[in-house]
Amino acid sequence: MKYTGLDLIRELSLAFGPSGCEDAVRALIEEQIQGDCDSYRVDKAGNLIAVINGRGMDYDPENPRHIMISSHMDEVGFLVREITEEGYLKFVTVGGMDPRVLCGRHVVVGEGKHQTHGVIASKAIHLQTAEERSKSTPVSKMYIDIGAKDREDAQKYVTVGDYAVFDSDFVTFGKDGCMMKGKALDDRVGCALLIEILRDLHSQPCDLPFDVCFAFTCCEEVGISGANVAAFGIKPDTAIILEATAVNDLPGAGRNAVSKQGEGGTLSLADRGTIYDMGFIDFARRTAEEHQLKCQIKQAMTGGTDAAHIQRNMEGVRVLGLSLPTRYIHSASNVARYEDFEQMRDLVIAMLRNWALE
Amino acid sequence: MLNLMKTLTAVRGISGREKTLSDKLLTIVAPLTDKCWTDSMGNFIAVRYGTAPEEERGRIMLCAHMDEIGFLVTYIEDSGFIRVNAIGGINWVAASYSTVVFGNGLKGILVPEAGTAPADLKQEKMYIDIGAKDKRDAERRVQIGDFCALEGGITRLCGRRIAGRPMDDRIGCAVLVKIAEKLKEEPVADDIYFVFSVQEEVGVRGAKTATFGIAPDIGIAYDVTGTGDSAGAKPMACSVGGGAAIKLKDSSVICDYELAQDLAEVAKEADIKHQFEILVAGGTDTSAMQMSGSGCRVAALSIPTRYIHSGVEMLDLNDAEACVDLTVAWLKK
Repeated sequence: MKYTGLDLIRELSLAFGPSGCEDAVRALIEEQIQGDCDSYRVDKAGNLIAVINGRGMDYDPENPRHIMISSHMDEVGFLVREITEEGYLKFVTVGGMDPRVLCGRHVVVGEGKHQTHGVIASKAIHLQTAEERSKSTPVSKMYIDIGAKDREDAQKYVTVGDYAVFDSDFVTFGKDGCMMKGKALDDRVGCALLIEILRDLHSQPCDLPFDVCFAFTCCEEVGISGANVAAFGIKPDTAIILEATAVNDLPGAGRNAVSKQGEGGTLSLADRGTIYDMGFIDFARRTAEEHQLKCQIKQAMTGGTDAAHIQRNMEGVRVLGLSLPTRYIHSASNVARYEDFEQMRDLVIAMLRNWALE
Repeated sequence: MLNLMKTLTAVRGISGREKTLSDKLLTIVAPLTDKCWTDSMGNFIAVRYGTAPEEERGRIMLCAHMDEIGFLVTYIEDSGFIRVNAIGGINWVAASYSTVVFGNGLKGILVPEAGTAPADLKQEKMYIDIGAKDKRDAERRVQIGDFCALEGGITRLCGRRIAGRPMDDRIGCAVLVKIAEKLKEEPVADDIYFVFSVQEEVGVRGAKTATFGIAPDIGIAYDVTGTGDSAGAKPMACSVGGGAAIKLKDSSVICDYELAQDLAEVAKEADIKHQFEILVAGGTDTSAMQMSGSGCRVAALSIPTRYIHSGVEMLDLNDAEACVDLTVAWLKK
């Protein structure tokens, strides 16, 4: 079944895909791009790469230029490291998370038929010492309760090494349902953007002077970066990385605010991994202006994206980072504005259809 | 060398915004070499072809980074004060109460919030005052995303010693230019690639892609190194005035041992002042060259420098010239 818009984001958000276990997400994406691209492949690292070929006077089929558009499939999650005698699951986090957002959360352990429900818990407040109460509980003292009687019982459902992710509904709220909430919007919104851009280019073909390679990548959240491998395989000269990034537009944030929701995607100037291409940023801003689309500059240098690995691939790749302003990323409830998603989609499509990067 | 350094330190080139410096270098280096280009990350590359038949020529890459540490504007307050983020390893104590220059030539001063104890000097406590009346006034001149750096320039000290900024790594760029001048007169057998790299200060980024493109047999980096000869310095067998410092190791790289020995041998034969260098903390483009593509043999010739990443980086021009002479003598051999 093919989904579009909010339904597409919903399905992607609900899919199970912590870093290193992106199979379900990849299968869903594969289904969504069937018949909407000229070819696709899965590389050895597990990246899914779909291609829309160029055509027309300026396209060289013998030696085509490649433009890469990249989003990562993986989400932050958990990995079971031990089953206690009492049947509780000790775990480690996969990707960076604030331990304070974990306690009391509903999670699903394992995939598909073997899926088990559980709740993240820790020692009750009335049993904690004064010192324990004054600090946040470390992940090492938390456990997942799957309702098992003991270790033997738990082992019927779970194996050490199983992955878990947040179980979190996808809902819309706010005026006319303008806001969306769900898990893994970082970076399933990017995947949804890639799918919608790919469909747009395929359904209304134009003379693209290059092949557009849509890379759905693995393992971004743990820094291994499947995008590194994907870029080496694609050999692009330019790349656009679509992400979800923090907003920080909370009460009292002041000069620590990163961006504003409702103002379109954020263009990164520099983050911890990359200093972005200024000419590329100018091209994006120019295109936005010409097409009356919104975009904004990210006002912080925090975080890092796959751009770092793509930029320094081979002889170097010109990179643009465009992100959806998303509140509470790396928690069970990411919150973003659908309108910003549409603005980002239309901006990238406008750039591709009117390519004028100097 | 002094005049060249005056020219090179007068231009700002913060990591990621090296274009102005790259344009300046183009005017200097183009007449000395056979071909120049800029790659997609902004590395400025020039080649002087060798005299040997094409199939017998080796490829040797000489690399110095163009970029300097600086600041990125992240926020403009209602008062018109500007908040910034560090680009590269900023020493906030050394940077406070200094003049900064923006890409468009605008000047400002970098100061800490009132009452900040010296030990608490850090990014969150610092702001730039450009003398604007308020936010609107400031926004007419500065935008979020603009880059700026401490004012550059040189002071002459005793003998051939100079202080100022950014010695790191305009001195390496100057050494490359001087080598190119000598090869213009008398080319060597191999192809010599002069790479003026970008984004070294934020994690040796540019040299990586430049090396992939060139695929050299041997790479030599030219950069400043710390010394053990300033008051209170940690013990380090490297001093200003001690000659070209042949790197054996820094925290990013273990250099090719035979190549280092070979360079020392040439220096001895040609009577060029030299010393070995082991830098305990700090990395250089050397590591990026060594591990890019299918890898290459690497060496580094360092210019011993005191007070690195301050506004008064200090070095001896004789050491830089020893690096030039040693390279040319080694290339001829």
